[in-house]
Parts: sequence; structure tokens; C-alpha cells
Amino acid sequence: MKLRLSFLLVLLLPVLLTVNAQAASAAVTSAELIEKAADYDGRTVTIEGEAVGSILPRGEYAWVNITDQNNSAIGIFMKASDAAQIKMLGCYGLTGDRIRVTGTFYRACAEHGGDLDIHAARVTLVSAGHASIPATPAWLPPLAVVSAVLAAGFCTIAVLRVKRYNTF
Amino acid sequence: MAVKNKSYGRVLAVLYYIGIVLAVLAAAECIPLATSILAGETKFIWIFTASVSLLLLAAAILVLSGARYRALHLSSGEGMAVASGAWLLGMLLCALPYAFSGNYLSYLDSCFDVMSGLTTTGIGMVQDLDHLSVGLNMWRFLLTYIGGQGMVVLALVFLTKNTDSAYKMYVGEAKDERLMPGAVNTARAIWRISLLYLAVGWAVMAAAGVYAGLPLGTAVLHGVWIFMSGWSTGGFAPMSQNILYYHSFVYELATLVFFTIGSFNFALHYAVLRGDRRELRRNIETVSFTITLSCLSLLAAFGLMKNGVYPNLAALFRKGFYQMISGHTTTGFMSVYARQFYHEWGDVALFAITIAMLFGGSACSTAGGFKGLRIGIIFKAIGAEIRKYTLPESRVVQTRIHHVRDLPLTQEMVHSAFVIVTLYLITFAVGTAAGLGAGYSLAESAFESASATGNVGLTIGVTSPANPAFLKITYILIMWLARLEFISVLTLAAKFVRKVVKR
Repeated sequence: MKLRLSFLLVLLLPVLLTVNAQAASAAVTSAELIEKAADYDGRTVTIEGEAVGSILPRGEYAWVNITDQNNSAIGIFMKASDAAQIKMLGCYGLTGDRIRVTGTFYRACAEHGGDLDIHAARVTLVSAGHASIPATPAWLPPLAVVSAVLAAGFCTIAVLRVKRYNTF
Repeated sequence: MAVKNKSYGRVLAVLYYIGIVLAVLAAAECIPLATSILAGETKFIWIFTASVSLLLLAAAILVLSGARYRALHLSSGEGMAVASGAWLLGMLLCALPYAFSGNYLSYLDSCFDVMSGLTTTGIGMVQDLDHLSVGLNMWRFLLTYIGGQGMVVLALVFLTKNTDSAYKMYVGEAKDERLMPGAVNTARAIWRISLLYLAVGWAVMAAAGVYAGLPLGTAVLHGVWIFMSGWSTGGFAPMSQNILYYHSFVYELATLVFFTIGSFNFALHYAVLRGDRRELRRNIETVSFTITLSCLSLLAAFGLMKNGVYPNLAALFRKGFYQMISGHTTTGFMSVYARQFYHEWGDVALFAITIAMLFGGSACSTAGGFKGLRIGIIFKAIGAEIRKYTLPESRVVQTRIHHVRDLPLTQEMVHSAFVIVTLYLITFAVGTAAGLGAGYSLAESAFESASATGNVGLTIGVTSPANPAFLKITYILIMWLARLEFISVLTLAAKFVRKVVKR
């Protein structure tokens, strides 16, 4: 019986180790960090997200804001050399580089005027950004042309009508 | 029959003026169209072409229908109907670019954002803000800027004569200061002041952006947007983290200066620009604002320090005071996340900022809330009442206030202040009840309701596209009512109800 149990444990060991390793490096979301800021304060966290906007240099360091969900983003304070590996930042028509950051989370950073932020220790590029220009719906150009023609016609009539009653 | 025709003509005259306002909005919408052309945003070039055309079409139809009656002199009620009607129709038509963009989950959400922008509130329903088109962003901020000075005020600029009707429409938009003789001249003065500050503010914000690390082009774009939003006490920002995105004290300070100035009365601006700097110290609104801001900031600081929310004084200023003054001026710029209010600020600080949002900025400014003038009048009236019972009966003391000039405090002023503040409080209670009905806590509901009622824009995390439709509609109505200070919208509603009942 004992032998059986030991055999089973040996078999399960790789599985248990994998699960444990995944838990240790499991990325949290920005929403979770904001919602449970007190719990995570001062702890090492890992977060993954798309770099958006611009890199904001601060001497040997830089701010990079990353978004991981709709309208949820967080500021990462990292070395300028780490920021330099980010080639594309998200904006209209562009999906920015996706990065994975491990660093210390601060609920109200004393160094940065109380910002809720992460000071990065390790930054890795997960995937490169790409163009993502939204397609124009097929119905839009005809609507624009028809409404423009109608508006031009009605505006002309309106101007003539106003001139006709120009008593004021 | 003749009476019926006369009444019909008066309705058409109201529609004519609403059409004029819509035509001016259509002209303004050409700016985001041009922006999209310059930015090469094909989809948005089509969106703005269609939206401008539909707005112009609606304007032309209204102008056509009422052109014959445009010489009629509008009554006060009709002037108010023009203002509130223009805001309602303006919201429905200005929402078209949002609705076509795919950045909003519904047309209701699009309308919500337009009303939030026009009323300079700043709470939003937009999806994926960090990837929003440059053209659409330009429209968001332009709507805020136009709404801040007043869309009727903008339309009046293009009228040629200072008619009585023009003044009635001007008053309908909750502005009653006469900077110059005639409503048209006053409207032009208001826009001259705003454009002067725009030139200065744009340059300063662009420089602050470069200092914060933005590339020059982005700093220039963000500069004009943040200025338009700040000056108009709007609260929209181009990135989802709002002002926190910039991680810069200098940038925060620059916004703080402009939104504070923006919350001052245009009559005060006019007096100061004409060389009367003493007015800044003497005006009842600046005095009232300074006192209430100081008291509420101290209360909030006490609450935040008691809970140990921020690690040092610099953080307390950048987070505590910035949010407080942003709320009091009804701007709504945020350098903290919405949920931090709920989880970290504690009851005392939340109470202080909720009160600040309700108090608001100055009358005849871009700000919302009760307004400093009314708070000053109410406190003066309370003081006069106490004096009446403490001084000898034979002694008659006349209370005076200083607002551009010395004025005796009249019963009419006190009555008007109490009526409007009471209406604000009722609206705030209704908004809070709606939040509670949607399942939020009392603190969350009261905070968000105060933000909508004061046209502020700070959020505790209640406003979201996931809200039930009734809550979104309630907030839209609250923002509209509060911005026009109730009377215009209530007049329009009364006229509508009377028509229906007559039928």
C-alpha cells in the first residue's frame, strides 16, 4: 500500500511542480491590482499587457503605461534600456507590443507622488505589435454621399427661404 | 383659429432658432472631419462626412419650417425652450459619430457621452479609449469646449443684432451676466475670453506635455484637448488613466491652474482682463470658493491622514488636494483610479469631496454645481437673519454682497438661490436613489449622483456601459437639467405636457 502511494506521488510530482510554477508566475490583471491594492501593496507581481500611448522618459528610467483590459491600464516605471525594447505603442490603428513585467507593486508610491504603480525588475517582450486599422463598413460611404447631397439641397433652399423673409 | 395659428407660428420660431444652433454645431463638426483627413483616418472621414451632413440636414429642415416666423419676439419661456430643445436635439445628432464609430455598445451610450461632454461632466461610456481615433477624440473635446461656453452662446455670436429674443435664449442657457450691452455682444465677449485663454493654455499644456516626456506632436494634440477639457471644467482625457497617464506633477499643476481659472465667472474674467485685479479678492464667488475649498480640503486631508492613505505630504497634495479641487471646480480630472475612492479614501474624505462636487464653481462660468454665488448669498442671508435677532430692534442693517459691483442683498436673490439649490438637492436625491436601485451602495450612489448633478466627472466606478438603461437615462436627464439649471428644461417639459393635455 505504501509503495503504491509513493509511486502515485512520484507520478504526480511533475504535475504538482508545473502547477506551482505557473501559480508563482501567474500574471495578475490591472483591475485586480486596483481593486485589491492594499493586499498587493509592496508585493512582487507579474502583469502582462499592451504598451499604449508614448514612452515617457525620466533620465535613466521611463514610464510605460500598459493596458490589459478595456479601459484598464497601469503605469510601469522601468529602466530606459527595458523601455527601449518596446518598438510599437498602441494607438488608433496600431496594436502595441505586448510585454510581461515582473516588479514591485505600490498602492501609493512614495517616490512618485502617491501613484498606484509597478516598479519593474524584469521586462520581457511577449509579442510584437501590429497594424490594426479598422475597416470602413460598406454602408457608410453611400450614407455619407446621399446625406451630403440631401443636406446641400436643403441648405440651399433654406438659405433662399431665409433671404425671402429677411425682415429682421 | 387665429390664436391657434399664432401659437403654431411661435413653435416654428422656436424650431427656427434650434435649427440655427444645430447649423453652428454642424460647422464645428467640420473640425474633427478635417482632423481625420489630416490623420488619414479613412473610416472616420466617412463617419464625419455622414454625421455633418445629417446634422446640417436636420438644421436646414428646422430653419426652413420656421423662417417665416423668425422675426417674432420670443418670450422668456420660448427662449428657454430654444436652449433646452437645442441641447436635447444637439445630443441626439452629435452622438452620430460615436454611434457609427464602433467605440460604443449602443446609441444610448453614445448619447450619454455627448451629454456628458456638452454639460462638461466627463463621465463616459466609451470603449477602448486608448485606441480611439484622433478625429473622434477631437470631437469629444470640442463638444466639451462648446458646451462649457454654451452652444446657444456660440450660435448667438453669429447673429447680427442684439434682439430681445437673443437675450431670452442666452438666459435660457443658465447664463445671466451681461458683460456688455446686448446678448450678442456678451456672447462674443465670452468667446473672445475663451479663445484668448485657449491660445495661452494650449501653448502651456503642450510645453508641459513635452516636459512630461510626450513626443512633440502628441504633446501638441494632448495640449489642446486637455486645455479644452480643463478650461471647460470637463474632465475627459485622451487616455483611459485620465491625468494619471502623464505621471507628471508639472502636468497636473498646469491643468489645476487652467481648470481653476475656467471655473470662475466670465464677468470676473472680464473685469480682471480690463485691469480690475482687486475683483479677484473681493468677489463673493472667489471668497466663497476659497472658504469652502479650504474647509473641505482640510476635512478631506484629515480623513486621508487618519486612514494613512498617502505616505507623504507630496502624495497628499497630488492625490488628495488635486481630486478635491478637481471636484470643487466640477472638472473631474483624476490622478487616482475610480475604485481607489471607494476602497481607500474612507467616509470622511468621501463626504468632503461629495459636498465639494455639489457646491461647484462660479455662476456664468463653464462649471456646474450650486455655484459660489448662491452659496455666498445663502450664507450672507443666514448671517443677516442671525444679526436681525442679536442686534437691537431699532437698528436696521442692510446686507450687501460684492459681485463685480456692490449690490444690496435682496429677498429676490435669496429666494432664487434657495429655489435652485433645493432643485439641485432634489436631483441629487433622485440620482442617489437610482444608484441604490441599480444595486450600488449608498456611498457609491451618492458620490456618482453628486458627480452627475454637479456636472463634475469624478467617478467612483459606478458609471459603466454595463449599467442598466434606466440608470444611464437618469444620469443623462440629471446632467441636462443641472447644466441648464432646471428652469429651461422644466419649461420645455411644461410646454410639451400642456400641448399633449390640450389635445
